[in-house]
Amino acid sequence: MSDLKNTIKIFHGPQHPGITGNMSVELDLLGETIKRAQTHVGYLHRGFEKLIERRTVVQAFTIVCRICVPEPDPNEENFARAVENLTGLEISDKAKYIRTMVLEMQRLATMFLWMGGQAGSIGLGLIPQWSICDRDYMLDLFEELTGGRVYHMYAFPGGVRRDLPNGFIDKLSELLDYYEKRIAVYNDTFFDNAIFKKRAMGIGVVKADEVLKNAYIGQVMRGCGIKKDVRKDMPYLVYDRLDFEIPIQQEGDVYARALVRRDEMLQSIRILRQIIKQMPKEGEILQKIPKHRKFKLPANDTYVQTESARGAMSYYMAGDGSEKIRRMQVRGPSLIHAYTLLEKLLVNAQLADVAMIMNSLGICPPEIER
Amino acid sequence: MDLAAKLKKLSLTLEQKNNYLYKVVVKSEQLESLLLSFINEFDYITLDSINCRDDLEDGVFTITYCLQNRNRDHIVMIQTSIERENATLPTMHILWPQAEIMEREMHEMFGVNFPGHPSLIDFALEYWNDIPPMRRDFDTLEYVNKMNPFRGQRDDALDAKEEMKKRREAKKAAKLKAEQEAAAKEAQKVKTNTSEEVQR
Repeated sequence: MSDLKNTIKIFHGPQHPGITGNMSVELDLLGETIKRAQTHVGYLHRGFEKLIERRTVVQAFTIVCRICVPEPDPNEENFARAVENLTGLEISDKAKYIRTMVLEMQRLATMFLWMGGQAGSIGLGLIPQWSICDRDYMLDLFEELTGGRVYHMYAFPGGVRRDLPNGFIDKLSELLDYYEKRIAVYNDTFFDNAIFKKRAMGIGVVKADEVLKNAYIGQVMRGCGIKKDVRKDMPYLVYDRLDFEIPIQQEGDVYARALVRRDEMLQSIRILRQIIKQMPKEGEILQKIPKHRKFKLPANDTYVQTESARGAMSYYMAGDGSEKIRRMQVRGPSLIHAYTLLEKLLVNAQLADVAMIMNSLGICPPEIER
Repeated sequence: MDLAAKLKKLSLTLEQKNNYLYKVVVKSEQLESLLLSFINEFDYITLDSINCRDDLEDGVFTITYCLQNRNRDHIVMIQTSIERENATLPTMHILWPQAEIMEREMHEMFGVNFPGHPSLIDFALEYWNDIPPMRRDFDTLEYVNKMNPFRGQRDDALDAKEEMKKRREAKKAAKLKAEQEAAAKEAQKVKTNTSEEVQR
C-alpha cells in the first residue's frame, strides 16, 4: 500500500470512449503511471442466465445471441450444440456447412470491429471509419441471410432456420475478394503504421508460461506462441474437413495480438472459400424437432466449446427432464481477461495505454455479467 | 484412456460423454485432493470454469470444475454436490489464479462460502442483502415489485374498469335505441302504406 501514497484515483469508464463496453477500471495513478487497477462490472447486469432458467429451449434461443453484442453467433452455436448434445439431435451436412460459414463470417465482422477499436484507442481516426464501413458489408449479407444485422437468431438446435437465399454464395465470394484487397490496405495503413508499432510493441506483455495456468485464451494465448485453437484441437461442425493454419506470434504484446488477428482474418477468408466450394447443394436445413412445450431436455448435463473471434467460448448446460433449462452457464474470454489479466497488465502501464491494452484482450462486458 | 486407469485406482469412474468430454463424479470430501491430483499428477493445468447448479429439490448445489490439459484436446468435468445450507467449498485460487474471480462470482450469486478466499467482495451487485439471486428460491417477481413499486394514480384519474363498464353500457343503450328507432320507422312505413291502400 505504500506505493499508493500520493496517488490520485480515477475511473476509466463506464462512459469512456476507450472502454470496450459498460465496465470501468478504477486506476490509482502516480503521475501518468498506473500503480493499481481494479475492474468493476455491474453496469449492465441483464441476468441472462437467470432468465434462461425459466424459459423453454425456443424461448431461451432468442436471448442467447444477446450475451455478446460484437459476436452473437458463437453463443448461438454453443446453445444449439449443447441442446443437440443433450437431446441426441443429429444435424445434416448442409446445416453444418452453413453454420461454419456463419461463424467465419461473424469472425471477420468482429475483427473489423476490433480493428476500429484498436486503432481508435491510439488516435488513428481513419481506420475505424474504414473498418466499420467494411464490417457493414458483412452485416448486409447477414441481413440477407438471417433478417438481422447484429443479432441473427439463425443457428437453431437441429440445424439453421432457413436456407441460403438465391445468389448469396456469389455475393459472399465477391465480398471475400474485396476483403482480401482491403486487408492489404489495412496492412499498409495500420499494421505497418509506425505510430501503431511504436505504441503497441512491448506494451501489455503476457508471459507464455502464465497462459495455460491462468486460462488466458484466444489471441492472448496465440500471441505468446502457443498454437492452440478449439477448431483444430476439438473440431466441431466441419472444421475437420477444412484446411487452415493457426497463426501465432512470439512476443506476447499488443502488437503481436494484432498481427495474430490480422492473420486470422486471412485464414477465415481461406476457410470461407473452401466452404463455398464444398457446400452441399441438397440437405435438410432444420431437423424435425418436437413442438415448443414438448421439447424436453433430459436430466443430464454437457459442456461445449466454440472458438469465437476473441478465444474459446464455453457453455455448461443442464436439463432436468422438463421443457425448461435447469442451468446454463456462459464462460467467455472476458471474465478472466478483464479481471485476472487486465488488472495485472495495467500495473506500471501508462494511462494513455489503458484503452489500447483493453482492446487487445477482446473484453466484452455483457459476457462477464450474464 | 490412461486417465481412466489412474482414476480407477482412486475408485472413481471416468464417464465419456462424447469425443472431447469426460466426467468424473466425486464426493465433496474428495474434491480438493482430486483437483490437486489433476494438476500435479495428471497435468490438467487449466481450470476453464467452475459451474454451479442449484438442485433445490435435492437440497444441494452441483458444482462442476472443467479442466483442460496442455494439449487442450479434451475437457474433464469434475462434479460434486454440496449441501445448500451453509454451502462451503475449498478455495482454489492458489492453484489457479482465475479461480479467485470465479469463486467471488459464485459467492455473490449462490452464497457459497470459500474459507481463505482473499477477496469475497461485491462482484456485479452492490450492497446486496437479499437471498443470493441465482438461487432458485429467489423470487424475481417479488423482488422486482418490491424494488420498483407501481406508481400510484393521480387524484383525478378515472377508474379504468368503471369507465369501460360505462362505455359498454352506453354502447349497448345506443344499439338498443337504434334498433327501436329502426323498428318504429318500419312500423311507420307499414302504417303509411296501409293508409295509402285504404285511400285508394
